[in-house]
Amino acid sequence: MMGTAILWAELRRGLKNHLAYPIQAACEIITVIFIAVAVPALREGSFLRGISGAALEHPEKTVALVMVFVALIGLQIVHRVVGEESDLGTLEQLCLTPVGLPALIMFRCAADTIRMLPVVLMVVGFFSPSGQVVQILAIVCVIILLMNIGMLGIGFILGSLTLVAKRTGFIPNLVSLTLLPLAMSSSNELPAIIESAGSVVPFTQGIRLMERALKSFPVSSWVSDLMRLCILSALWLVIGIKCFARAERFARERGLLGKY
Amino acid sequence: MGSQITPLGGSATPYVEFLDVTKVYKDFRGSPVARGIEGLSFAVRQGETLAILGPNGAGKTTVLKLLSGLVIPTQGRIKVGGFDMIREREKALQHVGVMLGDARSVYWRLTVRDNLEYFGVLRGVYGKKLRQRIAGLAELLDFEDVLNRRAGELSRGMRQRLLLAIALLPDPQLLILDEPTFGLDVASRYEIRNFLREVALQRRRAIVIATHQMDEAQALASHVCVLRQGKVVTLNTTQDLIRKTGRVRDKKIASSSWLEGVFLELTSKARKERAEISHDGDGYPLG
Repeated sequence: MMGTAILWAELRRGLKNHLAYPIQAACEIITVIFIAVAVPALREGSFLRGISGAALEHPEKTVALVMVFVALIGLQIVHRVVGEESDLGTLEQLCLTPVGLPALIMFRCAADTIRMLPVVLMVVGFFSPSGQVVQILAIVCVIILLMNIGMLGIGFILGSLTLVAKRTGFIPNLVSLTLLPLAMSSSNELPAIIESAGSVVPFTQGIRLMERALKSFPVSSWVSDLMRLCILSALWLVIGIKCFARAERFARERGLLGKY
Repeated sequence: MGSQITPLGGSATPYVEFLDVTKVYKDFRGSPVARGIEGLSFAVRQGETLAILGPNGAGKTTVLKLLSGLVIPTQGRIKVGGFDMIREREKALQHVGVMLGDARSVYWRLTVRDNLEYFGVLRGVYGKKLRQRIAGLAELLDFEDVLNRRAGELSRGMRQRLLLAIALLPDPQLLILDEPTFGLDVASRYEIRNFLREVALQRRRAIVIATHQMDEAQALASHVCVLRQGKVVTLNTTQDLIRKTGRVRDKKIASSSWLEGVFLELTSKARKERAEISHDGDGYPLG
């Protein structure tokens, strides 16, 4: 009950914070309308030449591109919460609640992902083979959830740096940039060393699974990979939270909380 | 070295126990750079108000941050409501309301009501109870008219009321307040002081308050702790302080309250002593 109340409060706070100013609100609404118009055009080949061609040949890449934005939520949320809330002056206020900063960040990540989910599902829905849309959307939701848990784990590690070292925004940005080549290439296109490094990143695992789901591979062929993603993400989350807890203690010892 | 725990208010169990607490701020290599407080001990029971006084940099805010778990002590133990503030911080915070001095510690883009609803949920109050609490506090603290205005558009006084309301949302057993009436007009100050007095005496809540305003401490506090450069200059009941330092009132110190006179006397005496120690080459080491 308490968890639901916090998730609902985070959803409302995020939405109200975004829509607090008319121009920002208008831009957000235009973005959603644009996606709703552009994505079907991509599928029909009537969008900008070249782009629509790529989308027709490799629909899974269009989905992968949207997935980058979901992965960025997990990857950047800890840094954003610590950095932005310190700048705003609200970090100490948040640390004074009995919820605890890691739990609060997880709720915020869930709320942001839920806000992003309609756009992802819209894109996935357009590129799914007809007749299997519902099943694919369901499995996509599971993949997004698992993938973002793992990316949040990495986010906690990067956010630990923000807590103790300050002005480290370029690191999450740099890591975020590496997601693009991972998203836009297939598993056999990348150099072996990058491929093996990518195999421990939940995002890569999620994207590869998404490709299979869109191409309707028999479920049995990718269940083991889904389990692998599950274990990988859980590991990242545990390591990330432990790392963040140490950084938080260090920040409390040094009196660094709220200073950015 | 550390001052003794104050034998405050009879035999009741203390709600707050601050036991021989030292805070030394260190740099990344672990070398000490500044001393927050040194060997401070005190206890506060329900119904009592402890005012922490001291000049700038005396360690008042450090005490509040230690009490609310934002900072971990270098040495010593802090217990709130029977819970250890380091190991059982989340449990301890369930019964604590904190009002920090930073007026920006609310979301400026959100309305007053949105801020109260958001922080209320995080402090474990939600649903119908939260709505009732918000309505009650808005009436008590007289900010009903601005409930739907953005926090960033509020006057300083209204923002102080909002911060106080956030601290009071979970109906805490312990209130930690940093300069609660700073920047307020006389009427608002009077109202908030009366309200806090009622919270302490009638609702039997413990209050720890850091302030520069002697008249505020005099009006609210049952106990006073004067700090200077992280060390206790005096820690006593307000009544005892009146008795023991009555002579101060006879001196020609230009002060607006007797406590201001006492404060000036105590801190200038400590300053003099410190200057003498410094002259011997053993001055305040880290501050």
